[in-house]
Amino acid sequence: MGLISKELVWFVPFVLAGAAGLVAVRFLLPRVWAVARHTLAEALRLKIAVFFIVLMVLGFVAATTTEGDGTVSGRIQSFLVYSTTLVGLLLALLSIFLSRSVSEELVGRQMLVLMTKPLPRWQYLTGKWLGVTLLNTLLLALTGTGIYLTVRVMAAQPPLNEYDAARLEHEVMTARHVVPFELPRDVFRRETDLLFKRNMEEGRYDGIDGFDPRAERDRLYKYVEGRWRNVPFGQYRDFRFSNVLCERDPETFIQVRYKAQANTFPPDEVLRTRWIAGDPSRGTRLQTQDRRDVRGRFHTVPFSADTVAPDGTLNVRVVNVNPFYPEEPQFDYILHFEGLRGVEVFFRVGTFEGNLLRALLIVHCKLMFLTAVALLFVTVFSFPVACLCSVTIYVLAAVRGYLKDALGFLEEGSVVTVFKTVFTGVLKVLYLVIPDFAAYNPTETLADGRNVTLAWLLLAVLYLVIIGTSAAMLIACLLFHRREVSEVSV
Amino acid sequence: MASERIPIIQTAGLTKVFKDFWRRDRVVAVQDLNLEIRQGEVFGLLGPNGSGKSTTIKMLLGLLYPTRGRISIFGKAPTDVAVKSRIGFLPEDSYLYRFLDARETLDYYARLFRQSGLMRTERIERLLEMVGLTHEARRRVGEYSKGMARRIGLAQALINDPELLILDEPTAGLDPIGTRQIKDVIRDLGARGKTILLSSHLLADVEDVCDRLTILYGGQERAAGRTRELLRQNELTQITAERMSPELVEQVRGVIEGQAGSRRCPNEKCGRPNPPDARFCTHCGQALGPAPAEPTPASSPRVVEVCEPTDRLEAFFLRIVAEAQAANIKTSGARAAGKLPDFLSTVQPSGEGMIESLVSAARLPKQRAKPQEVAPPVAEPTGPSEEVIAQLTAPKQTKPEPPPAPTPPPAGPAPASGPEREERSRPPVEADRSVIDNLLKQPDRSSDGTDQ
Repeated sequence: MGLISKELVWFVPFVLAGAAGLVAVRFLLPRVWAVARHTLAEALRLKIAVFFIVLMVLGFVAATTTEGDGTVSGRIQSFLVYSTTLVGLLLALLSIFLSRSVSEELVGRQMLVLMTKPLPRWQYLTGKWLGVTLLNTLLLALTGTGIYLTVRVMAAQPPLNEYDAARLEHEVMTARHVVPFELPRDVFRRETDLLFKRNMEEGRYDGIDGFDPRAERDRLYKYVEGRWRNVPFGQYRDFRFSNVLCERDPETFIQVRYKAQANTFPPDEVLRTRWIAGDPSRGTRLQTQDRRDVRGRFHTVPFSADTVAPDGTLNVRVVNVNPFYPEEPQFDYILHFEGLRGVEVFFRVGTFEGNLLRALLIVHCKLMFLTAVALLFVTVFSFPVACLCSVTIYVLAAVRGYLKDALGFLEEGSVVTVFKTVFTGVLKVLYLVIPDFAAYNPTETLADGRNVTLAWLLLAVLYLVIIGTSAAMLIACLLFHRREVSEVSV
Repeated sequence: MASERIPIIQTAGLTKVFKDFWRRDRVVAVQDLNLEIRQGEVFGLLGPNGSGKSTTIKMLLGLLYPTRGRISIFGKAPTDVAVKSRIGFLPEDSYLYRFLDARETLDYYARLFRQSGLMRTERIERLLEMVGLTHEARRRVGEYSKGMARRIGLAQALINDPELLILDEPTAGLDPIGTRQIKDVIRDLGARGKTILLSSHLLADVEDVCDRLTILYGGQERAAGRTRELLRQNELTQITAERMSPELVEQVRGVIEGQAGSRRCPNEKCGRPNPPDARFCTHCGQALGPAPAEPTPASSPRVVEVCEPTDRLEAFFLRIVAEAQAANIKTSGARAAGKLPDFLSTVQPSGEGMIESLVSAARLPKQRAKPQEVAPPVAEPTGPSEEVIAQLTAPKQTKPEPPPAPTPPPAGPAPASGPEREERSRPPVEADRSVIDNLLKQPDRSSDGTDQ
């Protein structure tokens, strides 16, 4: 409880800022407040919000039936992924849909009366945005509470086994900070230079048409890095971590999570390794763990927190020998740790509650941006067109990373090249203004028990709300200011 | 007097051209319109459909932007927020939010004027009283009849105690009582120095309440001026007097014809004047009869008024529009209506005849016994049977059926058994003038709470 209250201290400024903003609007911009209240009342009375709540509840019920890997922790992880994705999607659609209020007032001509009142147009649009945002806040609070209570109920179910219970407590219902290992890039560069020089001296590049030394260096660098990620039989690799700023309490622990591949598989597909954490030369404890792990999956090894040096560095060594030999046979294979997530260090920094709250706030930032975008379109186009434009922006923002990869995979050819060039050009222009929603997707992070950091939330506030939303609203206000609100009737 | 007042609305060369998608001029809705409406005037804006009235009003309200020309409302641009806080507007349809009730609707608009909670509550209640909707204030306006919606529309237009009230077809959809109420409200507001711009197709309404008016056609001003002056028929003089004898009328006629005392020949084919002492017509020889007695001063009718008669606004309006049409002035609205198209056939009154036959036959005991002899089916149209006609046209020698017993008047409140009776039993609703008084009696505008 103490941890919860301490961990939620960050939330206080957010609440205070939100409340102060609302009070300021209420008293300094009462017309904006009036429009916001009206928008909220419209959404509630026309049962739009109710419809979305019903959809969400149905989605939640469906999400609780997912089995995951059969464990309680797995089921909770699946539920968290589905429920938060569903909330984000449905509220995004709701935000876009509610912007139709402006369009409807134009078509229904209520705008004729409204715009003869002393209501500046920018205040009208701001009021609309605030109304939708208030509704989103309300619905996010409701759904967040629903998600939390459901998770708590699911977590109260008896775990499948001891491992499931530990995983639930230490890998799901928690907020862990993640530190990736540091690649020795200087070493890679030196080795790359040496290799390149040797190849040049041996004349291996002579006679190659269009030889590009830079591309060759890049290729060699990847080769060196890949080789470093390999741990041949009988050898070891040291992974160094910095900024492991956990409490060095021997009673607490850190987790080393890894995913290993092998060039040849042992018959039972179990990789046997020894893991050693700590560096006595830096005044830490040395701790050894012998492991049998199924290949190709993430595994977590707990180590005592006092294996971390006082300066926050941690040395983790993996030895490619079978520590259970001779009881178990020794196989000769090369271990490989791919990508930055090949080996990671986790340590607990917060609670699931705080994590969930930050995740929902990041979703809220996306919704604020989308609402502004939807209002921008609806000031220019009629509702169906504006709705399509807004959904397009939403999809483009959500699949930005995927599109980039997908275009990269397209095979070259005359038609494809032209299409790729045009499409990429258009996307490049669009992505100058469309943010990458994947960069602000906390779903997997939350389900994985990783910390949804405050810095991440603040970045979302900065880019999506302060910059993105303000820009969209500014453009919307400028366009709406010049628009003739009356239908052409002569 | 009017010219000494401050101009509230001024337009100079106001022009609005609607363009198409390619920015080409499509319709000239208003062209070089110069208006000046002064404080306290009730000003009528008339014109047939498509003459540019609504476009003009929308430009005055900042809902449309002029293509050319200048608009000044209270000396400022119409888009100025401070200007809008002094205006009340009732559009041609009330355009209400269907999901709000009457009180919430007025509260929403009152909040836009930054009125305090107390002021809002008081004004809303008084306005609901004025429009007679207090008892329906909790019903959603989406369920209102058109007349009720108009009343709420009028209430919202008055929520800010406007100095300038712009009413577009204010009586459209209202019953006669409602129409009368609106006219009373307009008159009262006008009497209190409010400036009112009224656009209406109901010319009698405009005639009743407007001080000045302008008639538009094809976006151009076709006639403008004080209502009475515009309607005055300068080529005629009207004498209004107490009842006169026919002889005196003849004498007056003679005087008017420049022959005082002349006696008109009673022969319809002649009818020409004769000297006062003539006994026979000097033109055709017809006897003129005895000379009329001189009217004694005591019995002389009193001349009440000698004036130029006024035209009805409708006649004046139609004349102006006809002139404009004859001059081939372009308009974006409908042109003069043509003949009925040929394909519209004439319906034979077979059904009507049959019904009459049935009704008449039902009264005859003989035919009552033979229902099968009643008029043939519609497929063979025929008039009522001769027998029936004879029955109807015969002198009243047969004993007529006794008339139905007169229904005694209700001695007290009639038992309500339907909406109609309910309506009748309800006392006639009148505009509550105290509301207007109250609205106008606000000590000063700063207390309105507006942020001008």
